[in-house]
Amino acid sequence: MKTSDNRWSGKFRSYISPERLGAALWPVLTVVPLLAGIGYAVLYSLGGVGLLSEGWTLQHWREALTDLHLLKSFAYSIYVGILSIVTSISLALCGTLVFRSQVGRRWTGMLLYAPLAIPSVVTAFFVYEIFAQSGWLSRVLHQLGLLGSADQFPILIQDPWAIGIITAHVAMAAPFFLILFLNTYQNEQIDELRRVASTLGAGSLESDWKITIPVLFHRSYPTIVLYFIFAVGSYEIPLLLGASSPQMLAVNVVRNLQRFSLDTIPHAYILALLYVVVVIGILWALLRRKKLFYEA
Amino acid sequence: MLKLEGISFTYGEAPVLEEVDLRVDQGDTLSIQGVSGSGKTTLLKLVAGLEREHKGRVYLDDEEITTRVPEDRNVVYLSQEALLFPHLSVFENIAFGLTVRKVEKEKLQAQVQGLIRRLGLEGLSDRSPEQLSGGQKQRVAFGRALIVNPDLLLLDEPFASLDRSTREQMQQLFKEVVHEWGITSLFVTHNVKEAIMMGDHIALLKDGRLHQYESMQAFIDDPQSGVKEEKSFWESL
Amino acid sequence: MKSRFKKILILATAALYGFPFLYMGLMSFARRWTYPSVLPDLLTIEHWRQLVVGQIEISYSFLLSVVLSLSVAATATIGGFITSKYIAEHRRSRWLLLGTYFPFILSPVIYAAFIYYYFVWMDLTGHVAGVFIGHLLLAYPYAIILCTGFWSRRSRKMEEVARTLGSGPWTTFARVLIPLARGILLMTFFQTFLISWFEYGLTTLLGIGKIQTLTLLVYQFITEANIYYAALSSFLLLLPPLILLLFQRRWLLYKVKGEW
Repeated sequence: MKTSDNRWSGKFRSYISPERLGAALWPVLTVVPLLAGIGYAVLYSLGGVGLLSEGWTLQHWREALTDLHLLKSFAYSIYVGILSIVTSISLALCGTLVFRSQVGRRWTGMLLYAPLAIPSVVTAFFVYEIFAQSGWLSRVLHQLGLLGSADQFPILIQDPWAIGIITAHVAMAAPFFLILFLNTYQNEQIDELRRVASTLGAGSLESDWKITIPVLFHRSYPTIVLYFIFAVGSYEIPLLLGASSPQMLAVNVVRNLQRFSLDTIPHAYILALLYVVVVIGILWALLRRKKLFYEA
Repeated sequence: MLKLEGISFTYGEAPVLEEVDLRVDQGDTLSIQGVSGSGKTTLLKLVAGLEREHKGRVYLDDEEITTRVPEDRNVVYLSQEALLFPHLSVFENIAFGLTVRKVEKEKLQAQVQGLIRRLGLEGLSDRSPEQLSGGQKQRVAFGRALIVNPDLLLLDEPFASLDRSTREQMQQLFKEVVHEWGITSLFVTHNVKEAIMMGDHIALLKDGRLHQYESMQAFIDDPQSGVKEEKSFWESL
Repeated sequence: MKSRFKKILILATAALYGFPFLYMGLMSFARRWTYPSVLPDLLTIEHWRQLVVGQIEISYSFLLSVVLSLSVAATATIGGFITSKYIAEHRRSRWLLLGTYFPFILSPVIYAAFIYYYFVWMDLTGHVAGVFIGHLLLAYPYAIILCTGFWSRRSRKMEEVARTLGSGPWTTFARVLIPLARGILLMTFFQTFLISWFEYGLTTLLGIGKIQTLTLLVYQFITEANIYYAALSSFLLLLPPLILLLFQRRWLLYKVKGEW
């Protein structure tokens, strides 16, 4: 019994197999647009292309790398990223120690996952509503007689220390890390490990310090790094909750790209390129490890 | 009829098969005995067209099929794992080859039912593979292979994971059916006894080189086959 | 004493987690809520009534988002699945994965800034098609990453069995591989749907204000200080992830992109 009457059509069908189609799709939707985009940005920043191009020059780079505003924006984003992730992880670790005995109960599942349903736009909105000077917290303090008027409430939104942004980031990341840690806790059978440690004479606190935390970190390290990159490049949260100066990186790039005067475009691209370099560096360091990314 | 000419295959730098020649006549079963790592599985994959980056030529019924894709060869492969499709019932698993060939429904029904009876799988049609025992799974896999009336059947230690009594039943069933249908087959095993029992002819694959024996006796007499050693061991007891 | 302290902490977490939902719910019913009232001064069901009878702006954005996100999810899932096979079985799959991870972890709005010029050049900005392609550029790599987990020795062997039984590569996909991967495909579909559903930065940049998805509309309500509508439309935005929360909450863990 032959499979196909027409051998040629059989061969042809095998020739354009799904995975070959997928192979053709891959560059078109990943590396080509990305490299083309980055290439354009590089050329633009060197004055090679663009409406205002006056020929090749290093001037934009010289300007940008000495522009305090731009460098500050970069450093600010890293600061926000680090503080957001460190705070989230600390809270999640505390939560893990509290909730580890509750895992598996029915109500905990639904409860613990609930915050993950809330997207960043809504988180930003909510943080704004609660922490603004005339926000809900300020109202509560006022009702308690601790506050005379709204402007006595500290500025937590659009503030120079990015408290609002970091709060929103933490609201998104801490619940996520809590679940990640709790899952890891179970999968790695940390309770068993701790029991072994206690038979060897370790106290509860000591075994948490020497076993629970290192194991959790070891397993979730790639995810943590990934989230750091996301936090550094976040956009809609700082757009709503960030001060006008200094600005988070993504916000700064878009503003510079969309100014009416076109002469800030090279700066937008340079800032974006700096960000790309950092991301590549981090990705490279991660890829040298055996396991790839999150095993949530 | 299957004929291989000068088949060589390397994995990376390491040679897996070297200059393998082989011939199986229509309706015959050739047993290939070899220890694990001797290249048995690679040889079968290559004949099935699942591995096409090799030197040499493959002929089936005097037609060269060296470059043909697996689905155009009508060569079916049975391995130690039954590898039934978990999302299909027993009936649908057996019918698979006919379904993809778009065989009419009535004809398909009749053929599959017939085979189910022949293989003693009555009453299991609607079961899903996970509800079957190891022996039943292997029967279904056998049925799934037979339904397409293959020009060549490749068996890669198909009974290795079965318990002894089931294995003996399956060996018996296999011999009967293959004989009944006049199917040409290659039977690969590490087990010397099984190799002798299942094959009309026998070959030894060692370190990527294949030696096909004139007769069963020649194999038994060859010190390389290890039969004599084993015999003398049992006699010494 | 210690367990009592734990109980208090658990209750506090529960309260903290539940609070946003309650607060937003309350706000969507508020008519007036002046400082320093802790609760709304006046309540109304007017906003919800309008939503049900079809407030035109919200309905339009909601429909646009549904259609857009469904198309993005379907395309990304199918494309990602077939590509992931190629990548998983490739000798240099690590490098290909690197090329896939890169656009995935890049901030979407910065990615959009890089490709913006080409979109203008191809006259794709301000069109649904342009936003669709933009979303696909984010969703497709993620689909690949999620789907590569499917390919294994077992899937490979199943495929080989099907091929020797006479099934061509396309039939094998349709009859064997896709049914086998059903779970992972469904998850990928949901995840890529959410990426598109929540996308903000790239959509504003490539849509140049003409493509008003639901997420953009919510944002607009917020910046217009139209907070009651903002709260209301937020609930619409929450609909798909809430479905996940009820039926497949584990998948919410993979919801990382289109998020920050």
